[in-house]
Amino acid sequence: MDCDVLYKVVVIGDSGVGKSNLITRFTQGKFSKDSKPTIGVEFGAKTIEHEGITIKGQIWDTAGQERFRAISAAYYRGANGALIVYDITNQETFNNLNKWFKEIENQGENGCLNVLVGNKCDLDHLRQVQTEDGRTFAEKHNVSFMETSAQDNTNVDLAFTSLLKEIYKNQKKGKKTGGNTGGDSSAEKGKEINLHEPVAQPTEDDKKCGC
Amino acid sequence: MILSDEALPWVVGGGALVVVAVTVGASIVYKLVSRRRYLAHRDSGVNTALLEHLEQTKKSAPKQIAYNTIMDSTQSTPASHTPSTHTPVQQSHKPSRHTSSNQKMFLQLWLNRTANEGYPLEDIVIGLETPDHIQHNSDGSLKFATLHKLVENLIKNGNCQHFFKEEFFATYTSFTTPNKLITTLISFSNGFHNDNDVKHESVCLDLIEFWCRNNLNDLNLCTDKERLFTTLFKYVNKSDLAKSKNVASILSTHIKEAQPAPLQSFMVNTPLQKKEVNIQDDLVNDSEDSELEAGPIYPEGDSDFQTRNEFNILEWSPKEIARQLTIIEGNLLKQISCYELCKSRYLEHNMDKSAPHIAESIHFFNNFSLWLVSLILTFDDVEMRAATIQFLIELVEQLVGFGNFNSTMSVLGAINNSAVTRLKATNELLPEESIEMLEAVNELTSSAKKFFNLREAVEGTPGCIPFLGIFLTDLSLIESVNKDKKVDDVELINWNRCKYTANICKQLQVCQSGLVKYQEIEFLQTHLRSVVSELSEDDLYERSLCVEPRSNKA
Repeated sequence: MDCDVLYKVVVIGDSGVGKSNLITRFTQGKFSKDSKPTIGVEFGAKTIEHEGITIKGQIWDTAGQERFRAISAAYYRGANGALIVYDITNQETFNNLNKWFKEIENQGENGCLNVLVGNKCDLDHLRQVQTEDGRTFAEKHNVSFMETSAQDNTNVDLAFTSLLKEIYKNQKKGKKTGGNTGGDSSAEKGKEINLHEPVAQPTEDDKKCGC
Repeated sequence: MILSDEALPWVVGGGALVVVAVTVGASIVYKLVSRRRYLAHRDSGVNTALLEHLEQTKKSAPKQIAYNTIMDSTQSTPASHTPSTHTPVQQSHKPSRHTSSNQKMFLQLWLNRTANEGYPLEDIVIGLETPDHIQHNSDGSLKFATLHKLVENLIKNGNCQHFFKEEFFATYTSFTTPNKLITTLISFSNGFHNDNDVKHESVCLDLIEFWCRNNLNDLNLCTDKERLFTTLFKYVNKSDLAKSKNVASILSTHIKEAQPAPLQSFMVNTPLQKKEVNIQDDLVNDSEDSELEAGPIYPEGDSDFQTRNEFNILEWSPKEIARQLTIIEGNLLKQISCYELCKSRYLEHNMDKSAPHIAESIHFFNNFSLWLVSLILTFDDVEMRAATIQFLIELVEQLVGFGNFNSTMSVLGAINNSAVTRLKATNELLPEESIEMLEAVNELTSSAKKFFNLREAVEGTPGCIPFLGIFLTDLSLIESVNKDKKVDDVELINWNRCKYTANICKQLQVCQSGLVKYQEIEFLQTHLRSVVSELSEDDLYERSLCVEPRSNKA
């Protein structure tokens, strides 16, 4: 088994905010040059170590499908966390955040943790959204916030790993307070944590991802 | 001598242009096109006066600027139409690709050609010949190239290199415009581009004809359509080759047909290729599978449905609805052109204009799905709601059978909408086999591993209608991970990226060419296409809370 826990994280936000680039940067996936560039490699997965356990983040990218609103529920199903991304050089992507928060609230899973991310912070000279505005918005929605740059790799790892750790913390807490057998320390020692919803089968993942 | 006092009022277009203001005796304004080396044309008279004069007098400041501008213009990309003020020292970051004799020749030729033959400047596209304008991958395939080199490769190797021609014409709108492409081809045809001054008229005419047959509709989405037609007609009328007539006739036909409604979409009904349908055996166990093309199936005991205005989808057989949806989706699919898939046009804000057919398809997708949600929620009676969901699950099963994966996703979207999935009392009434079927289809269409299962199904189902979203996701990934130009040389087009994009275009074209023809029922076509939910998504959720309040923890 290549991981102790597996979490599904979706990355959402307007088109053009750099979702794919963030994911590529985080997973350090090399773009496959074969005829099917997006399959064959598990492009959006990365494993991190935390408190002695292995957390695998399965990052779901549907950039390009932003307009297929009718299937967003299917996309959010089973998501443990969401990275909600806007582009600091494009005010409109920030204005649309309400729409995305509402959607994940309506269509997403209960207990899905969100992080607000202002991407492209390397382009400070083109900035349209002030950091403070991003922070205020995040506070209002009670989510954590950071500015990132997929271009020069600022905060990209931090954004994903802090979300994954937060999900882990939350799950552990939920499990303890959720009335499960108290001394279940095995969860931390290699057993799969009881997720809200089963994500894709880990066994199949083992075969495909090769990590 | 053409260097008179009069200003040459050339209006020039395109990025490769520099305006040079030169003071030679009296004030003369020259507008020079292109930064590129240009070899002497056989018929050109030689006029070295301008350059010689400039060289002799370049020490004086204004003239030096002018001189440097010409040098600059042949070495680096002018970012704008404003005169460059670089000095030779300042812009020496890149090795010079050209000798001043080349530039002289370019100028001579340009001056002669424009003065003697009255060519509009934008029709002369001048190319580079130096080796650093083409770069290869380790396996010898093309990696980066200038537009000129790509066109040259197209002319020399278009028919022998594997799919190069197809890849080129599928993706050319991501790095140039139809207008620029055609004028480049014409200039090659006239033999402007090579040392031996060989004309490529025959092969260029073939390529232009190929373009006309496959890409003329690109022009519907461009602004300079008229101008390109003028250029093309002028070119073919000049040609002595018989095949130029082919091009002329395609153009005339296009103009004639395009007159009433160039973008008349949706209703266009060209005859579809008839093909065997490969059925998803594991999902459809209907004994009538082999008769998918048979039909139509009308509502039982209701022969006067056409005379009524109201449309009740539940009266119909799921199979017939699936068939009619497949016709609609087929018509939507076959209108989508490679143009719309390139350059992230489907992501633009004014998508309705930049990629109208993709927009139309997505609009129908969302609209239909939302309408189905509203249909389920119309009923106050829990059993009716359950029956409706059951009907939709049967419909999904049939859609998979027809290989219509786009509608499959759309209908599943309705069943999986949170306003529907939260209806516990309703969902509990669903029969076991419906739930199993729903799970199977959800598995098939899962976005896990980049829609792995769905991709396999699409590949294994000739004549199917793929879920358009997969193409768009692939394209968007290709475009975000691969730069369109070489990072340190914006003239070099990233051909690898074009190849990846072309591959997606090809997949789409394969699906388009394999569409199956089914018998239309006009009544259903009209109604299915025009359905619309009266409630918004938020209102539907409210309605859902209304029919089964939250407290209802059955």
